[in-house]
Amino acid sequence: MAKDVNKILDRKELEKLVEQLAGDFKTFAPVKNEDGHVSFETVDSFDQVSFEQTNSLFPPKELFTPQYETLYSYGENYEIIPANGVTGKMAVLGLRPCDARAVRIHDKVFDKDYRDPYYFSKRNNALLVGLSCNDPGSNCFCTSFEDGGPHSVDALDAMLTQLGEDKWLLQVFNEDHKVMFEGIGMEAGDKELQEKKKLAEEAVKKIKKQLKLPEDLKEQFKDEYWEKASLKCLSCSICRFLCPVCYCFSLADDGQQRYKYWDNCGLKLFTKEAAGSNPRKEKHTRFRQWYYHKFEYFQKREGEPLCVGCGRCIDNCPVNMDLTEVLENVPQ
Amino acid sequence: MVEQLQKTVESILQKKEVKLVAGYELNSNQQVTPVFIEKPEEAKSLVWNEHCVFNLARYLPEMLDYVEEGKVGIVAKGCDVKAITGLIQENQVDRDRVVIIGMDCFGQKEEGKEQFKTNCPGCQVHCPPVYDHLIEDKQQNQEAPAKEEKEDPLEAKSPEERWEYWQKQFSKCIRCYACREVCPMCYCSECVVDSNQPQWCSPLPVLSGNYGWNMIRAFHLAGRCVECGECERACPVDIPLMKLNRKMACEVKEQFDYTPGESWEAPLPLNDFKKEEEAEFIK
Repeated sequence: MAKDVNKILDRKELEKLVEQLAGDFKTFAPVKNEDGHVSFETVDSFDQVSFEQTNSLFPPKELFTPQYETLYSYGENYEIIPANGVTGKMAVLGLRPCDARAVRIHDKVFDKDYRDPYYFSKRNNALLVGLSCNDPGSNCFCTSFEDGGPHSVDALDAMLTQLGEDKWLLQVFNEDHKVMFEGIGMEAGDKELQEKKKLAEEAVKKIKKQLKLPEDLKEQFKDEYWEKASLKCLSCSICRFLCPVCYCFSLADDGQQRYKYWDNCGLKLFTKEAAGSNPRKEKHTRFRQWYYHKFEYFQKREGEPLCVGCGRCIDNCPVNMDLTEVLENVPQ
Repeated sequence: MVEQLQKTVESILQKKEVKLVAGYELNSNQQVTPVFIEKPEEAKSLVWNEHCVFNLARYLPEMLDYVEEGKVGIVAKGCDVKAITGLIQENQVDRDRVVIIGMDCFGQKEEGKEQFKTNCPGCQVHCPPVYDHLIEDKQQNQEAPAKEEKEDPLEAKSPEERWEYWQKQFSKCIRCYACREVCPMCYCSECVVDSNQPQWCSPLPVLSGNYGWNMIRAFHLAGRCVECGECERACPVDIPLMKLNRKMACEVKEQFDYTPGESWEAPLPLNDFKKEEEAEFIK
């Protein structure tokens, strides 16, 4: 087995890393806008990058499955013109472990029965450099899931961990990319790896929220609980749109193009059929669907829930609804 | 106040005056969140503090459907009562089926924020104008925020500059429709933006669609918006939606001398026609 690449970087070396990445790839990293909201944007220097926050407001899923994208357009004689699917090499820097876990889940989702070329044209060209969480947020619950945690390395090619004020550990896991990082920083020793291990253990202890899943949700499907619990829900799309794993989409034409865009189970139109009937007409059925897709159907099908514990749905709910509470209160 | 509130709610549930009451409680993160109470003993979970920002009037039509028949109770601040008034005025809520537990209120702040909610400065309804039970704040240990006297700098700008400003704001919109869903006056069973046959407005978060959506909403709320500020609070990307709503409210005030949410007997200005009104636009 090839030797792991573990490097120690200071701020200057980190700047060099970003410049090097930006030279070879279209590089995305968390960037704070004027309103203080963070999303993954293209960067060419470390000055633009914001690592302070735990989670970005917008999940990095939009890099691989954007909120809308053209699938193909129509020519003058209604001939189909495929969208330019060519995507250059892309690097994503500062992906939190939960978001990286979401990427791994999406890799499965978009390769189930049908390999989605729109997703993989971007995903296959992407280098993922993660960022460990030393200070998880108050609504984080990533440790509720198998192998999940503030330092987990799901789907990541490399990972950064801040060890001190001006000291970073870069670990490269992907053989193919090891050469690229050779010129950066100094070799890390056992001491640094121990420091990282200690930080990881401390970070786990800082996570206060735990998701306690009911034994079996199947039996509770018809329980009146869902109608009462859903009263508070506004049926807006914030939790679904900001969820790093919610992936449902819709297709539409506008006369010139056919496009794919985010849709979600909270919206009335989501299940409305062309003939007019709607199997999920009532709010509570749409509310319940979100929980059942994540924690019953997907869990049974794929052996893990469609949730990574990032806490965005809790952080951003306009009426302070808490997913963990909703599930914990399901009557047994 | 909290004790009196809990007692009042417990008593109306006990007497079976109402079947369901909307109020506020704390979630497991100790944040205020709406709660729906059916049993008298649950009333002790109710809270009242300066973070009760939510306008529960938004839930009224759904609560009435939920109980099917009989009455529901609602804990309501002055601004929430204006929304209830609007809903009664527009025949969405039957006054006889609602028990209003009015709360004296001297301003609300979002959790973790220093400044008051956008609608609080200059509030005229510290005591709800209509109620069935009133929970008074006898101590009033908080001073109500005064109206900001200075004009919005946007007003002094040229149309081009304002267009540039709104382009920037609307380009942030992700079309989550939290503004619509949190709004007590946005109750249409099918929203114009959800129609796809025909499609009036692009569902994509592109500038044209975002502009269309936000302008349609502002116009549909003209003369109806009670300025509770919930849309602006709920917006995850901080679009200053109340600037639009206030602008429309000013126009309605100027043209029709009308303020929404004051009386459910008043005719709606845009639904009503007076002979003496100037109608130069009709040629």
